[in-house]
Amino acid sequence: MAQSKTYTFTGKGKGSKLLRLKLTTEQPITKDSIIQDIAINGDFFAHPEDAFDELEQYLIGKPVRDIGFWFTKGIDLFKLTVYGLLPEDLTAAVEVMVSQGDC
Amino acid sequence: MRLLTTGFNSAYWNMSVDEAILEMVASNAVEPTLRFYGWQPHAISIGYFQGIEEEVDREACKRMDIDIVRRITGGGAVFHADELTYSIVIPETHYLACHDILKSYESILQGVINGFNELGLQAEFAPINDIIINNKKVSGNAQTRKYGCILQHGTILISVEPETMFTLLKVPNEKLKGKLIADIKERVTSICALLGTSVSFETVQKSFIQGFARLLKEPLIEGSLTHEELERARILQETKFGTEAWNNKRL
Repeated sequence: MAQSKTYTFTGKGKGSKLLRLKLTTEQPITKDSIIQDIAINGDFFAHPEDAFDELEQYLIGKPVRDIGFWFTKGIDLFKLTVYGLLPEDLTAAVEVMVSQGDC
Repeated sequence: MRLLTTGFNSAYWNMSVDEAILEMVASNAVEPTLRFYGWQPHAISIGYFQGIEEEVDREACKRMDIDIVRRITGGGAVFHADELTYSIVIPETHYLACHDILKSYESILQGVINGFNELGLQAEFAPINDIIINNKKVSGNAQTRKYGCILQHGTILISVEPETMFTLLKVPNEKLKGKLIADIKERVTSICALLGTSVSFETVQKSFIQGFARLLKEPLIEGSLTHEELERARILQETKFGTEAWNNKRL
């Protein structure tokens, strides 16, 4: 059975606020990896705040390659308004994680 | 609108009072409220979505007797030292409370801009949540919406100690991306730096009370926290803002 690893990304995307993404998947991470755990931290805004915690839980079990799609679905599902963080920021972050792999 | 000037208190108490007021305005127990306050001891507040370990040097804070508290609002980590902090709680039906969050920042922040005007400073709104003067940040703000009300609070920098600030906060280089100014210390300024003289907390507070008074259609009436608000704040301090469970929520 493949071991899990937590991958991290820190950077600013088009959403303009700082994103610190922590993603746990099987090792090594690929676009097909399944999200086992996730923390989307940063200085963005989301209302209601506690619904964002639910959105993170919702992303667990989803494939890494579709993180932007499921994030958008989650925003609708949990009736969130998010400022400073865009779905494509998450997509770009996981692309960096995948390209860097276990480097 | 009720006006509160609650002086200097701990980070845990300050955040507890803001939330207690939010709850009481929401239940119509008190009027919409504008509050001004300071921080003693000095403190760092982190945004709701930030990880404490990622943002703050906890050892340095302990060494320098700096409290650390998580806010109920998003946004970034803030070092609260020589500053005036305001909070405003209004129902979402209030004329300053636009449905559009960016617009409501802008409408409420006109009171802050007016406050700087009172001191002879020309400030402007820098979306999403900042006030700038001469392209430098002089006020950071954060907003949440709960129970049909808006709570917005923000800092008004009287003076800044960049060296201390960056000893306590972990600021990633990435945060500078897209900024024209290379040195992060050059992105922030203060009332004292802009005026070239020292200005007291009381003077600044008076100016921002005037600034908000110019914005509001209703009079500002000085008041105090009710017994219920004090009791609720005590409970929130004990069970939420003063607890490791809350402050370590996103490590």
